[in-house]
Amino acid sequence: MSLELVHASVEKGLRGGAGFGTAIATKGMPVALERALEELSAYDFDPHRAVGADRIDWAHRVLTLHGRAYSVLSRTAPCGSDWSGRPNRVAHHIVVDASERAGAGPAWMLDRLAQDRDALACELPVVGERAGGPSLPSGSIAPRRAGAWEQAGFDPGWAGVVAHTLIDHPSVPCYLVLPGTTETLPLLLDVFALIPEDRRWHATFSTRFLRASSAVRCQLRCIRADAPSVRALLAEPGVRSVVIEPGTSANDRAGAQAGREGTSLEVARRTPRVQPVLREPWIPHDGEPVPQDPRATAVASGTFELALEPHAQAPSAGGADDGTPNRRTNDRRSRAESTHALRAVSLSAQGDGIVTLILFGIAAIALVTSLILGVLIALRP
Amino acid sequence: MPMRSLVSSINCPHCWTEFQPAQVRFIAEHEAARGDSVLGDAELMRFLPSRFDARARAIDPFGAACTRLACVRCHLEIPPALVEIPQTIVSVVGAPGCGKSIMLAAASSALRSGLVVGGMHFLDADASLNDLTIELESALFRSTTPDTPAMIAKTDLSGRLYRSFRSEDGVWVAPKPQLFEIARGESRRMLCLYDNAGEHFLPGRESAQHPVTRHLGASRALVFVVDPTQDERVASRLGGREAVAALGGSGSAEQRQDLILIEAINRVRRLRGLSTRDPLPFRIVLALAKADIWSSAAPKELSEALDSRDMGARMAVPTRETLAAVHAASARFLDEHMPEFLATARALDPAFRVVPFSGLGRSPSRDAAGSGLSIRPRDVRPTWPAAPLVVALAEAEPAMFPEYTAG
Repeated sequence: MSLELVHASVEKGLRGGAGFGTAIATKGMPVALERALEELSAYDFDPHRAVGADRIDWAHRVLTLHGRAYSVLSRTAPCGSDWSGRPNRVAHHIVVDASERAGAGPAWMLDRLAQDRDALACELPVVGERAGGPSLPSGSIAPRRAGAWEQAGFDPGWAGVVAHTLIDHPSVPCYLVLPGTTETLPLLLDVFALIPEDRRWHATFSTRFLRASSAVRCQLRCIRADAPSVRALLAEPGVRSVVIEPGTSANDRAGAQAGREGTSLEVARRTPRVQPVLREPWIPHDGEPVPQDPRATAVASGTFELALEPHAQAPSAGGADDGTPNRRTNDRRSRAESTHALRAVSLSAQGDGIVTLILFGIAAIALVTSLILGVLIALRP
Repeated sequence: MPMRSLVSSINCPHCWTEFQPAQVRFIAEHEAARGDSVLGDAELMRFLPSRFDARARAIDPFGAACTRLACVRCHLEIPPALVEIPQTIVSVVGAPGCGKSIMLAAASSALRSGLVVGGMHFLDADASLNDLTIELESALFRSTTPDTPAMIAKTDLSGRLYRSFRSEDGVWVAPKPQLFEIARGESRRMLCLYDNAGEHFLPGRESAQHPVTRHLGASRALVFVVDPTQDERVASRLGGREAVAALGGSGSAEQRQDLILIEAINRVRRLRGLSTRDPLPFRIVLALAKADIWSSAAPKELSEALDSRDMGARMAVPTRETLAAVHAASARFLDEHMPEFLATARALDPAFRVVPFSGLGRSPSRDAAGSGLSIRPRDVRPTWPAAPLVVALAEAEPAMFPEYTAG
């Protein structure tokens, strides 16, 4: 069952006390999850300081908590003034259960929820606890030409470029730099339409990016080109960026054609050239020279490669992700995992020799012991 | 080469870990040294140096000279002056909406002007670390658009005011400290302040992984900001909740400020391992905020003292005699309108001090839509904006501010 939480500055929150607090929560929501969602509720009001590309923060983030990954849909936006007369914001989070994820993807789901006036809190809600989770729409969308991009004055090919970046580098943060404050959700709808259905919930995004805890994964970060700290963000090591300018063509960049023609992008799946574990015994063919241990051959020739399936990044995988993964991290992780696998392989190769050695040792010890006993018996008075 | 004398121990202003200056980490300068075990791959590596150049700058593994320092545990940056100047942490505590952020902005802006305390220098320890205070000040007190109405936003519970780091297999959140170098005569101190959200001080809101109020365990002074307009009795005296809200007061019926004071003191005792019989390690300074709104309901001598027309007198910290008279009048005001709060403060610290102030000097007005409060920066006229902070500092460092101690 999905869970929801609405966070805003209220005169008396669900847990008591005035100020920022939980206004609505699904009954039975774990305390740690509530705290973590509270962390995702921040909103920077200062238009000069905020880097986000949209006035409203539409987000799909993956939150890792106690080793479990949660897919969280969020809408955070200003909502007038609070009880103290200061600017208020309301953040509505929906923790989507795996069984309720629409095939059309998180951006579509947010868009549909936004059309339903009661589904997402846009104003200060009545404080209370809800017995059940929200009812979520289901549906699917087919790949299509990126019309929203065209309407916004951009080459639709850029939608394909963004989609390609998301699926080709699933663990690398990508900054989508837009020329100014833009309604970003329709653009993301087009992007997600180009992503294969089984990959859509793997992609995370925020349309008004604000740095969060490292337990939160947010891959696509929509920012404004004229924001003051854009250069510092883009200078972070390993991040990717797609800079959109009106009238600039995506040319023949990877994925651009899919955006213009409305065709689905293919996920490049890497297959291992050498299986790290021997699943079938090696049988020599007639006339073929008997090689050394094939695993050793692979290691020696440097062709060993660990296959990291893209599914390893899925929210359901439950793996921890620090939210700011970059190429170096992945390379390092891959290298580390490869090293572990290689060690396992070479240990396995040495296994037979070790057993023989142990048996030989035991036999030798038994022989020496019996000799000593024999001598002691012979010398007994 | 000039000699530098180091402090015996440093208290990290981010995570409050105590460590010796010799353990301080340096921040690599070389771009190839990107990636830190605690802060992640976006940050430059922190390391314990073993090589130094002739100017005592650490050499990072790629050969670059490094001068920036970081904490041994959280790896967050600390200003270099922290290894030389003793630190004084002042905890500013209060209910949501009581005016903590406005007090901090008004106080730092006033202290920079040099009009507050004679012979005192007040500098940012590191302007890049103090961006929060600088932004708050520039919103109302040093605005480049003085005729455009503005207001300081409500302090959020997460976001840019906080930093996270990985340590001991967990993700921790730390509030961003604001560090100032203060000097008077021969004395120098590193003043450390935090702009916590009031919600952090509410009972039951403390979290192990989110230790944003742990400065209470290391602070040398406590300023508790009291907003009398949040009390129903004061609001009634001023014409009701609607009238108070229109003047910029808060007026939440549910805000029990005495409970927040008790919670803060309980955290102080818990974090320092003090028993309930042990005296508090500091004196509680009650800062009565929004004096411009409630002064009409205050004793005559207090309202007259607050109503000075002289700009210099409004900015400067009053004399010891004035402070004593104001304390007595404020205590009478509290006794009349908020007796249980006064009794709580007296029970927790019989030698507490009360200092009224007004961060804006006049009431903000409602915007065209009738909901949000704002004020033209040109109209801002604070009254004794830094007085509560200086009185708290005087209690923590009596040798530095002898004229403001209680005597």
